[in-house]
Amino acid sequence: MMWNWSFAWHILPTILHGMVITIEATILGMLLALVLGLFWAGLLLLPNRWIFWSTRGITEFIRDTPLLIQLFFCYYVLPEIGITIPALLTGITVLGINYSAYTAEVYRAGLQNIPRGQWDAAKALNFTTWQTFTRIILPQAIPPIVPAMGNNLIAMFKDTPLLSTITVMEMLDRAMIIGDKTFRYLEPLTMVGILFLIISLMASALIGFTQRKILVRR
Amino acid sequence: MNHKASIEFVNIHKSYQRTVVLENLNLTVAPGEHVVIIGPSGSGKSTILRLLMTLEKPDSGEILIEGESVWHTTRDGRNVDASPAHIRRMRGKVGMVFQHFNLFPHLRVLQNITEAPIRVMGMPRSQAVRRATDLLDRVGLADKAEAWPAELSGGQKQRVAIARALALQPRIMLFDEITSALDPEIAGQVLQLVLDLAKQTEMTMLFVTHQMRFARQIADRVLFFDRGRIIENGTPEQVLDHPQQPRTREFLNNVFQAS
Ligand SMILES: Nc1ncnc2c1ncn2[C@@H]1O[C@H](COP(=O)(O)OP(=O)(O)OP(=O)(O)O)[C@@H](O)[C@H]1O
Ligand SMILES: [Mg+2]
Repeated sequence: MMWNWSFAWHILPTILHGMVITIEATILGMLLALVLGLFWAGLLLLPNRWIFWSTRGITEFIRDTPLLIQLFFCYYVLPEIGITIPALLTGITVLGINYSAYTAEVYRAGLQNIPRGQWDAAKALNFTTWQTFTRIILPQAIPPIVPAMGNNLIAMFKDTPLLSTITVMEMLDRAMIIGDKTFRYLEPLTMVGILFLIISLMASALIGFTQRKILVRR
Repeated sequence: MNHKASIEFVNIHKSYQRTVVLENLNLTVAPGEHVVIIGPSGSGKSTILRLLMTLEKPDSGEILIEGESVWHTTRDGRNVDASPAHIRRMRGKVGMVFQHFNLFPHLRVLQNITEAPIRVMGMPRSQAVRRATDLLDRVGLADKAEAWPAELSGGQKQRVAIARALALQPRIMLFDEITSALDPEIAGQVLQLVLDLAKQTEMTMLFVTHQMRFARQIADRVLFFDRGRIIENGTPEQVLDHPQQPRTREFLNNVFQAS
């Protein structure tokens, strides 16, 4: 089978359209993962055993079950108990919740690297716990974890093709539909692979740039 | 107010997991008094200051600041746990300077000092900046307002930390080995600054230090502490020059040999 340029050109708009959905799912999913992961990490800092162990239990459960099963469960099982969520929203939410378990670990590592003296000093200055967390601890904890968060972002991006299994029309889904209709899989699948590669590389570069910026400022 | 003790520890117990640090500690400090606590490593000196700063909670006993219990209030004639708001109000009476400075590395020097007055006391930014600038001037760092903590020497960092604690105008200041991480010469300069400050205020001050010369200069009273107990308690002359207890004499011998 030979590469057909005019066919590739012809299907490019469809695939780019899928790419928009892929990127949209990644960005929204990552935002959810960043917020929820910080919430888990915050709970793990509280001096309450029950909260600690239930949070641990939730994040372990999320990490120890396959993303694909979580997607299927939310898309095919939840409707049976009367909860029906559109495919894309399901995909974004499941991706976000799944990755929140990993971002929580990254946050936790970052938070543990802040010396106890910073908490002590903040308390001695009578900051509230919330002020201490948001104004003293987090601004120090976040810059060093930017690269690790970036890796999670790229990993999530590369997991988005899984959303095709619950009918989300992202890049891979569209490529497969084209292939099934035309019996040409070479061009669509190659193009999807290359687009993933290009975007991943650009994201890596951006993360590296951000990190250097942060390092220079300190 | 002045007839009340500034600080009272009543039957304070404190342990960490297995180690008992303070056992049945009683201690009273008068308003404006300068008390120096000396004693071997691990004897519980920092724990006393950390309890006063509410960084630690006693297992039992009462800590009173200006006659008021820090951790308890009476409601319907019964002694109950105090509200977080009450504890914060009590905490606001105390300030602390730490051995390792603990400046906030992500804030410039001026912001290190203004952040608490603005966020905690609700002071207008302009007033907080004016006060911080005055304080930086007093600690001899007027030109470092816009520097990052990482750009300062150890001695300069500790001066900023002192200014930062003073900005909240506490009634009680705690100094925990504030020059232990500094070169002797720099340490001397920082201690001189503290001596000058002590003369200018009516704050109650508690010091933990191994600098016996400084102790002699600043202390109204010296406490020798060992294994969570006050072994000796008196004027600098009494405790440092004429110690009654063998344990104190042994400790002082070691300290003087070391320095
Ligand atoms: N957070 C903690 N957890 C467990 N043990 C602790 C903790 N903080 C202090 N200790 C223990 O409590 C005892 C008293 O400690 P403290 O820091 O008050 O001693 P110190 O007199 O200040 O000693 P140093 O001169 O070395 O600073 C020590 O045995 C110490 O190991
Ligand atoms: Mg100590």
